[in-house]
Amino acid sequence: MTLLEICQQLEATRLAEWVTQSEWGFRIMAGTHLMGLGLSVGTIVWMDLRLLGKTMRTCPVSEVYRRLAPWMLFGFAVMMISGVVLFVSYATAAYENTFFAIKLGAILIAGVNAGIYHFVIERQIAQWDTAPRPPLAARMTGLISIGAWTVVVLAGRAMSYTMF
Amino acid sequence: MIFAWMEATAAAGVMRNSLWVTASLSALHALSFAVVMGSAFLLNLRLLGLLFRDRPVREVAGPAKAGLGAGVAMSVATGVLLFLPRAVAAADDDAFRMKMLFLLTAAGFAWVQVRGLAAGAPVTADRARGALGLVLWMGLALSACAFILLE
Repeated sequence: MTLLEICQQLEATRLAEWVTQSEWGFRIMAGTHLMGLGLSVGTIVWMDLRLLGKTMRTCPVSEVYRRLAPWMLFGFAVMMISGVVLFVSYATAAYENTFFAIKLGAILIAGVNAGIYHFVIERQIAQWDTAPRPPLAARMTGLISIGAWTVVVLAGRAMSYTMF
Repeated sequence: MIFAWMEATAAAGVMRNSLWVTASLSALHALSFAVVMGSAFLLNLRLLGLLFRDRPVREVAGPAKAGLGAGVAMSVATGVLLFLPRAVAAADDDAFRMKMLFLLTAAGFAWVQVRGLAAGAPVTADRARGALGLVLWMGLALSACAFILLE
């Protein structure tokens, strides 16, 4: 089965039918997706700015992460679940959309970047936790994260102008 | 009528004739939305005692103020341009009117919340003000969603 055929099957599900055919399905899911975006990207940026040494410089990096994590993760879950539902509903159009490919690529980069931070860079955090300006490797992950999430938002908005 | 005049401006014409200009501005508008909401969450969740509870309010409110200022400036700049080609219809739209009402009250209230910061006066953590601030910014976000999704 090709990817396109899988997309066609996804669109035939009752969930997709509810989103595309009902009066409120799309509005509820798109609205939820936007609110999740505000919470997740809005809070992730603060963690990235701390890694860059641009904000809350007197607060340890580990504490900034620990305090923001529940909000980042909750917002991310809301955005991800509503995003998957929206994808299922318009799978073939998304599959053929360049901006969707760009968006997925940027999400992948953000994910790998977060993984590198947690499994590699954060291991040495004891050495620079309280530093106003963390070392270059940590600053790079902050910068890449801001860049990747910016692309996700811009490409996501561009999708709504090119898909329908 | 000012809205009809706005629709007749050259900038409105450029917007009407170029989907790319509109889409690009709309994407930047969405980006500034994330900056505004992130800053609003930071400020008001701190005032509510739900985030960075053991850090001084000023340490959190300072960056949040800068984020709100930059985010609102960018969203108003892009928003005005997006408004131009459809000024008459948007001004007549209930969701858009709600959005503007929430924008004015939320931004005005945020200004009251942080006005003591520049002068160096301490800002006390106040749960009621944090709750009201959060409600106003959420109202802005929801009416913004309603404006683009209900038309």
